[in-house]
Amino acid sequence: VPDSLDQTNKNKKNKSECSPKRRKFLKQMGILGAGVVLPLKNSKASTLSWEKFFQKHYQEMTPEDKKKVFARIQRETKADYGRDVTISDPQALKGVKFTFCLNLSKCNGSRYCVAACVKENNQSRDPQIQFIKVLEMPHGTLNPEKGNLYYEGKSIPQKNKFYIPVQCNQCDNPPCVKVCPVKATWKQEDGIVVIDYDWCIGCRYCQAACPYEARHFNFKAPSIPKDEINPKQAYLSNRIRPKGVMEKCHFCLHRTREGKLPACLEACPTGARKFGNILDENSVISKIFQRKRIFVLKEELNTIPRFFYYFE
Amino acid sequence: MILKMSPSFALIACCLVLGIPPKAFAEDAPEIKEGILRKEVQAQVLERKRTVTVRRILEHFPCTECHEKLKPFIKPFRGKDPGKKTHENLTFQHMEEIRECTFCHSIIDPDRLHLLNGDRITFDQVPDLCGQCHGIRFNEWNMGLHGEESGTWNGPRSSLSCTECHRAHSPRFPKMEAKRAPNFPRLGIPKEGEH
Repeated sequence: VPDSLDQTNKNKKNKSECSPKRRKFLKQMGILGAGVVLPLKNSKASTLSWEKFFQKHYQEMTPEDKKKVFARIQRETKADYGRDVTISDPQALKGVKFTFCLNLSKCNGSRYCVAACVKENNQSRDPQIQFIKVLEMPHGTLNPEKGNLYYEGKSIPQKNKFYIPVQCNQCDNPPCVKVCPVKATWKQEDGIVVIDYDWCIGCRYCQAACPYEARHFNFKAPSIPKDEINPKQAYLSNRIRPKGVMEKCHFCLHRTREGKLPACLEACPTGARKFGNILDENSVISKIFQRKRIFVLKEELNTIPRFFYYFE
Repeated sequence: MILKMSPSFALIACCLVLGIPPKAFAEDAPEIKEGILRKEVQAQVLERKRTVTVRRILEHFPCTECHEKLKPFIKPFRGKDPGKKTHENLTFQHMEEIRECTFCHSIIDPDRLHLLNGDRITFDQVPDLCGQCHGIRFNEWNMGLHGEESGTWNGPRSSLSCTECHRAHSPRFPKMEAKRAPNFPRLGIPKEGEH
């Protein structure tokens, strides 16, 4: 018996001696392989480059790394879309929980919010990606499957219909974050679920997990007219997304973290949308919570949304 | 017959007919009081850092071009220029059973509105006037729950005056045309109504 033990120990020793060499070899091969695969000079700036390949996850980046990355994105946007943009990086606010409330008695389904969102967030025009979906619902149900997304409206609101705009609910128990295999999406301190577009591998698990259909996939590189590009961009929010990544509503974090209101709210002609900090007692949101009967969509799924609806 | 009467007598008679408190017809018109809100275009509302913005400034509508002060209804409505019929196209869909201009418009000074207590206000102080009947809405608007807002979510924000969104004489929010519908994903499934 002791002999066999000795042998196994020897084997282990041998393995431990061997494995670093093997790892080293594999690493070297990997780098060599990458060198073969990656073209040295790109035809299009946004295709995979050396810098992008070795870029770290957003949460692991040092300020210097960020500077380099933002400079690269600005350079690529200039090359691909011919527009000078600024990439900012607003940090999550402390003592703030962003909350959205929407008055369904007021919403008249005019889709002004959708148009403003598309413009603000540099969303692709073709193929079309829109963060906000406005559903035309018959009276007497809140089942989104009965809603019509493609209604045309010459004179809205129509009789016996009401309209529910649906966008990312920024859940406190987000199923999309749980399923991400590479942790490219996570929830930040002020309640916003963000995506690192450069870390996303485009597996679309989160799209399947989201019960609100809030996540959208870039099947193509977004096509935006040069004049309509919003040059005030942020790394985690509205910078032009590369091909093959997920995107979704982020409560306009590049605006709201600077104190502004989201673009959809400012565009709403009826004043149905209300935005604020739920931790502040005097905020509009707190007053709505005290006075109105609020509800969320698909409460039974225990996603704990941050987006509330109410009727008057 | 009214034309032969002295103006003051006519006014008192008018006031009795219309049931408006006689205070509104005091001969020596008092100075225009500031409403609850403000005199200027923007002012701070109560202790909240909220301002009221007026997009189209309508402090002073020149009603006196046709309607004379103190006796706006003694002269015919057409006023100085008989060809000018400004109120012909006016659609009035609000409290139709009352249908009385002087319910809101002041008789003493046709360029102003008046509240039920006789205070005269400018046209952009109109929330005070609407708030007399629509108290719940007025309170909600004051708190920021009603109406379109702009500004910031944590600091000063500004909301619009009532008549910026609601037309003064037919206040129901008008029907609108919706923006374009999203493209229907063509995966071999025909759109409803097509074949």
